[in-house]
Amino acid sequence: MVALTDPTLATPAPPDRLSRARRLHGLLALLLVVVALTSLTVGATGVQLWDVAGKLLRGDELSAMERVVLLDIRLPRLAMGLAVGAALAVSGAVMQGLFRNPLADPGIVGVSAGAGLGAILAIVLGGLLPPALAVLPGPYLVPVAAFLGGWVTTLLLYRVATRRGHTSVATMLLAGIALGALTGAVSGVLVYMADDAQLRDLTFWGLGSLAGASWTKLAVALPVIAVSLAGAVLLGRALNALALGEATAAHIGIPVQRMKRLSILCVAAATGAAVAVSGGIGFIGIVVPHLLRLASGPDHRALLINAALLGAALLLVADMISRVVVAPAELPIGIVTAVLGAPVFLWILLRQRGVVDL
Amino acid sequence: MVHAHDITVRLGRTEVLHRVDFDAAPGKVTAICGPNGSGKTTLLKALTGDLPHGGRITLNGHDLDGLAPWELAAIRGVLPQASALAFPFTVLEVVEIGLSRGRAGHDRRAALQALARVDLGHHAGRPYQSLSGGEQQRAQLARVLAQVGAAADEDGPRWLFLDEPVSALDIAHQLAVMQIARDFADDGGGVVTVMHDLNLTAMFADHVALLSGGHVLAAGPVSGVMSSETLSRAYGCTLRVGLAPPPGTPFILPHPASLAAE
Repeated sequence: MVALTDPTLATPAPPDRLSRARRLHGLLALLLVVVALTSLTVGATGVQLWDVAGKLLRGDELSAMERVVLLDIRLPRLAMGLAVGAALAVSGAVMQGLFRNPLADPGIVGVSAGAGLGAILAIVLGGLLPPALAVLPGPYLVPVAAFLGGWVTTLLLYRVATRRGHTSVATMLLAGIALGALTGAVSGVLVYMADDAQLRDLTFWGLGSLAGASWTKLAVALPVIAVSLAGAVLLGRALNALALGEATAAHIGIPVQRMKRLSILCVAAATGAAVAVSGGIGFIGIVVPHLLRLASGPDHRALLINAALLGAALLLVADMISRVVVAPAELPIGIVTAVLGAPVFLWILLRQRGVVDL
Repeated sequence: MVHAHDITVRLGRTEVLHRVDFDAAPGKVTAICGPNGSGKTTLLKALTGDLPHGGRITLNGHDLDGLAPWELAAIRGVLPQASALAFPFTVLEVVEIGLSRGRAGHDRRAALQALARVDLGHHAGRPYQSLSGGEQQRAQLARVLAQVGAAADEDGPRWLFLDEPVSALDIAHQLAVMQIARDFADDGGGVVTVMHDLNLTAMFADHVALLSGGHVLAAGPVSGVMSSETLSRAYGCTLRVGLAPPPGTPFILPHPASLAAE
């Protein structure tokens, strides 16, 4: 018998990364509040939050201009940025946990590709709908089509990958690539058919923007995103267990199949709604969870909440940049997230190379 | 009790276990032995509920298929042959993942104690992926030990299902890990373990189920099953069984084919 370490001997306890990650909640929430308030003051018009706040405190009437700019433009835009940023970042973190791969992202389960196809179909062929069928007024046709497109592809992939009650994550990944190529091809045909005005719409939709934010759009998207994010945050423990493989997760007591279904459902709903109202915004889903794992470890119980906070904050910052750099015009926000996100992502890869396996 | 009756497992179109009966009792270490491809791991996976199977398996009197994953997890822990980790968790965090119940502070202490038992207390804060294969195997054992907690309590015995728990370990840690299994059984728990090393099996197990070609060739107490004739027949080579000096544990020596004719 070898002499093993006596279990009663006190070993110096290693740092508790979960507590540190939980302390980050407060810090990120504070950051988010600061960013949100700042974003309310930034814009093409000269309306200042502080003037408005002062007026409200003194009980003075707001001017019509201030009312419109603040209540109908900046506030809904802020709310949408929060919701979309949180949805994209949390969806990314959940997908990475589910696929056990730090490079996974909602694009992989076909949500983004399907939503994109839905949007393109609506933009190019929407005008061809007979008036009787065109029940949806113009501005809502694209988001609704995008949401449905995302859902249909996700369900299709789920069915393809599920056999006898077991969903193969690897099959889903491969089928997602195939389906992505197919939707890409169909989109290509539609782009080829599109006229100049439609092409412009397509380009802007593909690059993403929060400019279309309105209370009516929010009324549809916000509940969907809020419910699916609440569901996703409950998955922390299960996603941790899944890091050890599906079999081990089951041995630990996780109902794996049910948990996979819930993850896919949440991601499809949250991403579908986000893409529907804001178009294709990349990199948030990959960069945010990755930065957080570097900062405070991979424990999903804290990671998912931190991802929601940082994702929302980062998207608001990107939106402010997109509004300011070419003011009074706007840069599509997808360009900003890509320009900021891609180098950060590369830098992470270079730093991590050879140190630990991702 | 683990009671398995008439177990048949198919992988694809091939039937890899043919109507196997298997029993294991708490307080005992039950080893599953046999040559490569004889169905050892398949039997273990059927017993842990990982493989669809024909026949009936009960654990502590409960039908295996009738237990929810979390109910099963409260009675038994499973150590797989190999496990890959997806994200850079530390060794301690991996052990804590096994503790799905209880409060965080308490979890941490239990996890640290389990790590100390497998001689990894000093590596608790290291990234799991930076450990050697053998150390990872021991860390996984710590996770399983932390998960099941006590070997037995008023709810009945707990179970360890181990798939080749010492395959990647140096000889000192092989002995140490087998001793942990032995202690678990002596404390009233049950251990079912797939084993390649026949000498360790003879030293630490109470019962052996010897598989060959998906059938049970022999099952029972070590002294009965581990005879030169039975082992040689199961493994298809000449094996000689002798008795080590007191306490008289059998030891197994392989006999090269070139010498078998002599």
